[in-house]
Amino acid sequence: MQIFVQTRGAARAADYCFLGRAPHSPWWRRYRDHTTFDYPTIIVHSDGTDWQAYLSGIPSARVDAVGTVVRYTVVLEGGCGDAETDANNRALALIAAWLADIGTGTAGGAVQAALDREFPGPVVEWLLTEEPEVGWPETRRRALAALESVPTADPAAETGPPSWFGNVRAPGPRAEFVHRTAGLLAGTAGRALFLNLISSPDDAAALAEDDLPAAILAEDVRGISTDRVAELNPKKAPVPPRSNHQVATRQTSLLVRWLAALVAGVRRWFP
Amino acid sequence: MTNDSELVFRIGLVGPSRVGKTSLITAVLRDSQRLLQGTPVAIKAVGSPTEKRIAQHRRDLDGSLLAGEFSPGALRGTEEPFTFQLLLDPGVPGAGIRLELLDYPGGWVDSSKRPHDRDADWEQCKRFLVQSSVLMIPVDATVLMEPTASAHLRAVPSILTTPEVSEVVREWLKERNWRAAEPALLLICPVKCESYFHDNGGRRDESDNLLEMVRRTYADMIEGVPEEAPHVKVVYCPVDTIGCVEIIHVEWTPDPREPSGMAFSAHYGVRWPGRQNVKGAAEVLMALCRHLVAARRKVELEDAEGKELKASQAQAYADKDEGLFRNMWYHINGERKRRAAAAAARTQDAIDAQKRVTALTEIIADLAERDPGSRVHQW
Repeated sequence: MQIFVQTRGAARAADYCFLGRAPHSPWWRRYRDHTTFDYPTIIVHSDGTDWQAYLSGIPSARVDAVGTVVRYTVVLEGGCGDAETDANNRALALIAAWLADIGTGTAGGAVQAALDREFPGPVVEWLLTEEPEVGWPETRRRALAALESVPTADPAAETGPPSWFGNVRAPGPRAEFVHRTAGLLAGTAGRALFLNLISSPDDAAALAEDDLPAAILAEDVRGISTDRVAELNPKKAPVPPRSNHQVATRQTSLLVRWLAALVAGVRRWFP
Repeated sequence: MTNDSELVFRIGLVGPSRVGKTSLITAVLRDSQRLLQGTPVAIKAVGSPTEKRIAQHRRDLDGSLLAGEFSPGALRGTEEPFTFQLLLDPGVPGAGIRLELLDYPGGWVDSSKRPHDRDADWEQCKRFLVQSSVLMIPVDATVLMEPTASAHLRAVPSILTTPEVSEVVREWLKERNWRAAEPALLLICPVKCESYFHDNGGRRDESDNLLEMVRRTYADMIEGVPEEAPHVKVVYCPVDTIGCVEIIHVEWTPDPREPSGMAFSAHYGVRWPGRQNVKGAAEVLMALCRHLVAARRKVELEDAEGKELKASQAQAYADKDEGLFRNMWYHINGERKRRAAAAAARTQDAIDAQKRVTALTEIIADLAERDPGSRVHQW
């Protein structure tokens, strides 16, 4: 399993960047219209063989030059299946813990505590200036140590439909989300998303149009009010209007059929 | 919702990390909405992502002010680039002007501090900036106004990343030189100006000092404009992004982590009743409107002339006699009807285009009559 940590230093010039090394591609940006990455976000993807997870908006105990709370972003990437069970269980624990912190509005929750323990201010300032050959292994070692200290998750049985929408403040949908995430890491293709700009079933339905089923949680929810998840039915794609070429083809076809009928009539009356 | 017939203008922002780029964008929207009340023109966020991001920013700010205290730290820094979409809507369907403003982590401006994995992102941002016909430079007014020792003054260019900002501006001016027929505007916007003007609840007036400090700090950039691209207008628009706050004290602390060796922080108190009262951002909009609407009017006049020509050509084409057999065939397959409909549509297009030109003429007149105020200065 690969693990990447993004944060910033206290100095104005020390803006947000990944410590040591960055993920191969910023794959999470496809959700840029559905979430503000500066605020709490969870994105988990699996194609059945490999999985990726993006957790952002995690507060730290540190502040920057103007007094803003500095945040962490953690990106995890791994393989699905039994061979990766231990590492995947650690990843699941982190995702479940961050989801619980978000859902219960817990400032300084388990995830912040674990990361702050391994990434105190002086260590972050050092890693920001260190060469990747040194900074990357050290970041990875510390991040894995942080994962070790997060309590393991115990996913309940999932009962929801393939694609659903739920309220992150409610324990039921959160439990469904953790179970879905466990399935993704074990090898089920799909997505589990907590996106902070989603606020209605319509917003979520647009996301469900993707090929992969999606379990979607949102904070500012309108349209659902219970502790249960609501099934999402992807909207059917509208039928595209006919092009000029299609219109011309149809006219030619009608003309040919009209001429054929005319010829048949002439033959019938003048055999 | 956006409309394909709307004109899109890109507005670039260049400034260091934590200067307040996002705050400036939301302040422009908020103050402009107030300015345009009672007129047929409105400015609004377009699309759910922009609407919700602005709402998030406002929630953070309003929450901080309600608590009776303000810390710039209440507002989050930016981690990923995002393009804000605003619509200047004159109330005539399809006649809006869409403003695209790119927000991104300010630390990317400094190549020595930019992570290598962000180089490609910065190249994309630079392309956006260079293509923008308007470039805004947000400047932290407190950094310019609060130095009390020569060591503080020496740190100013480093804190404001003045050399890096000037380099981006130079590239932008070179591109403007290639596009000499296009109007172009360089807006220098000191932000966090609440403590230096007395026209918005402040106790002292140091507006002349602020203007002078900006002129001195950005002298190379300002003086380079007539040489690089003489048609570019340079406008100074100081903005109170919060309005109801006042500096209580500042700290200059030796800090080896800062490139200048000096860290700066400002501490604010909230003026009663603690409600955001943006000032100066409407002047930014007025400068933008004069620039953008004039450019749009030029394009629309050309468009209207083109459509009138097409309409007359279409009518002649629809009426064209092409012989008995061909005309009969056209009647059978509906071609004649289609041609007539196309001619009618194009005539309607010409009428609509003319209406838009008329509506925009009125808007230009309305904006031209407005006094930009004593804060604004044009170099």
